[in-house]
Amino acid sequence: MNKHTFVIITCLLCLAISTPLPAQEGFSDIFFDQPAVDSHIDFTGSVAIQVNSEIPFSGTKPNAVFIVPNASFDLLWQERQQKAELGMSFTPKALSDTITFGDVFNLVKITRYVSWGYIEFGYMKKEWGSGNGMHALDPLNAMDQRNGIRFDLLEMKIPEPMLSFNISQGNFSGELVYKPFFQPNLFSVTGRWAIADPALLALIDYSTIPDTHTLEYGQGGIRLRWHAPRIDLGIIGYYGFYPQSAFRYTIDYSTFAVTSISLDYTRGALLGIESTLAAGPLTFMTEVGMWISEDYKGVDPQAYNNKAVYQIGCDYQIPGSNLVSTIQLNGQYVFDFDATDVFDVDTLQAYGDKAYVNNLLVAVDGRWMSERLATQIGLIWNIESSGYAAFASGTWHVDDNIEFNIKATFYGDFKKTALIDSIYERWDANDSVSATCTYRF
Amino acid sequence: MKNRRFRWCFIVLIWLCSSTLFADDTGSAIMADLAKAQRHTSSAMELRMTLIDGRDEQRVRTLQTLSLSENGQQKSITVFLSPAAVKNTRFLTFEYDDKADDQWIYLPSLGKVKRIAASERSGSFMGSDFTYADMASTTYDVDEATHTCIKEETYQQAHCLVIESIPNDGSDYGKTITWVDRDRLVALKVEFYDKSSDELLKTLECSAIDYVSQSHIARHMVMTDAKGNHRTLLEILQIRIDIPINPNYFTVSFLETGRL
Repeated sequence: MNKHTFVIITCLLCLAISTPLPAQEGFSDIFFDQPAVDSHIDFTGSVAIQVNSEIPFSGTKPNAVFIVPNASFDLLWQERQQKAELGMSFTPKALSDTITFGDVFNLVKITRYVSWGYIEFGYMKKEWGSGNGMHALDPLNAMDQRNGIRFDLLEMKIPEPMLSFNISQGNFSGELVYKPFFQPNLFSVTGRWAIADPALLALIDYSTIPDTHTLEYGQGGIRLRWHAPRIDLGIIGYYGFYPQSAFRYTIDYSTFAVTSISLDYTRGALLGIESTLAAGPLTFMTEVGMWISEDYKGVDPQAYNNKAVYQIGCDYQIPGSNLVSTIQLNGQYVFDFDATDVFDVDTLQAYGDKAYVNNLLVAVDGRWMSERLATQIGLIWNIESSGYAAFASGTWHVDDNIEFNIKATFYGDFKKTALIDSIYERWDANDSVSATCTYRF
Repeated sequence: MKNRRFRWCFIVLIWLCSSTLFADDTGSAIMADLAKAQRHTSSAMELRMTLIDGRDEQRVRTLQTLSLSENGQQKSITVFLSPAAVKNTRFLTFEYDDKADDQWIYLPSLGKVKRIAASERSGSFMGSDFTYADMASTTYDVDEATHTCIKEETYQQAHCLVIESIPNDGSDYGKTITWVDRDRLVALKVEFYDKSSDELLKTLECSAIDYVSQSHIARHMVMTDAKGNHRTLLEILQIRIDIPINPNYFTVSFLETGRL
């Protein structure tokens, strides 16, 4: 029996022997005149129109304006023992672009509730780790960077097929996840969102990229949590791949020019612990972990090395106000780092030939005028490169169905140099402002 | 979303709007009796909150909340039923006498349970005219405020004792004045005054008095901002007191799944 057959049979056995549980719509069993709901369907969604304009601060390009309509639909069917969810989003694309499954569907999930917890199966996103807005221990979904940085972490995640077993017992809960395929982070190689010099990225040889949507690229993860007074503690384990693509350069040593680039992926495992501690108006969050690479000794320049990852942060509700602030420091330290090997994937993605990278996230959320107006400001600052992404947003809720949002996003570098050393600096000309009107139903 | 102090809000609202079978001519005795009468072992409520602005535009929120006193510990869980943007958002709170409370939130859009800090008591409750702080620093407990019966008068066709309560410390208000129905011993009106200027900030008016499990309950409460720009109507659609409630509701597991 191979491992995939084993997984399928195990799932079927779990479903067969588990005792189903009734669903609760609120506390329907307690309120006498509201009988329990056996089965129902919820259909919700939104239609929106967004006007997006680049801000020509650089003065080197025309002020492009885009009008982007969007329609999103969410379908929920809930029955006593199971739930099915479908999430779709429709945004016009150029006729020349191929429409993929992921362009339309952002959620296709079936959940079955059983006596010991619940089982989820489908195409979904999951967020692990205790942090707020970013994580060090969140390996399950890759990130989509093809349209820059969005300050909604979930919005940047790419949904993937998963099978998840969730167990709860008292103050303990556990989750076991199997992912049959591997989806690496997505990035743009051309246009204004290119992550590096497009001339260099044009050398990528796409025929070398392995097909990761096969069962050979299966991954697994486990998360155990303990909810104690004042503190939540967790352990995370993941066996799979580093989410970033690893670059392999072919060099013409007569000229030392790069002639082609192939992409590969580094197999690795992540082990870590997380905690959340509440103290008065403060909530402290920590995530600490270790990526263990298949290149354990760090000798293969085309594979990522072992690295320590960490995140510490704090949420704080400002007294006497409706303002909530968060500050998070996220970083990593690469072991066996060799700054002299300029074609090593770790060196290629380092800032200033340093083995470590730190990102600081600061954000403040406010609610005003009986929560009709919501404001957000945020900043991600890459300390080593001094690059930053910042945003400000204001949303006016006309009522519970209609809202207007204005948002501005800025990229840049606090210390500009001749050498573009971060994606934030590379995207410096991509500052934009958008106005969106959304109707929810 | 602000959160945690639903329980404070609900309990004190019941304090304000309930009666006991005991009566006394002094403000302190009346407030002590009110507090004593409200020590329920459990409660279940479904509420509708209508936020009304100066142009009479309304926004409605509905929620259900359960609370349970178990082994000296207060537990509560709240689930939002509407509007759609917050539907099935759930809060779980454990309150302790000798240490900070525990609170978790389940956000259905994330499918994630997250521990959160206790929110500011002076913050607005769901964007309404009700705050957590004024209820938490209530003047109704004898040892928390000085209570004086300042007059008697007829209000809402009921004979009321008017009690002035000046909190000892830690309150956001300088004083409250409460109209207590002497016969049903239910609060019919409360005025909240500013701490520094003694200016009237807002007024709570209670009506639709009902008799539930040997307590009088006001099913309709309107909190009006003194400047008249906005008000909040809070309606108790359903209430059950001192009923058996499965303690498994008050678990992180239920918070995450909505299943017992």
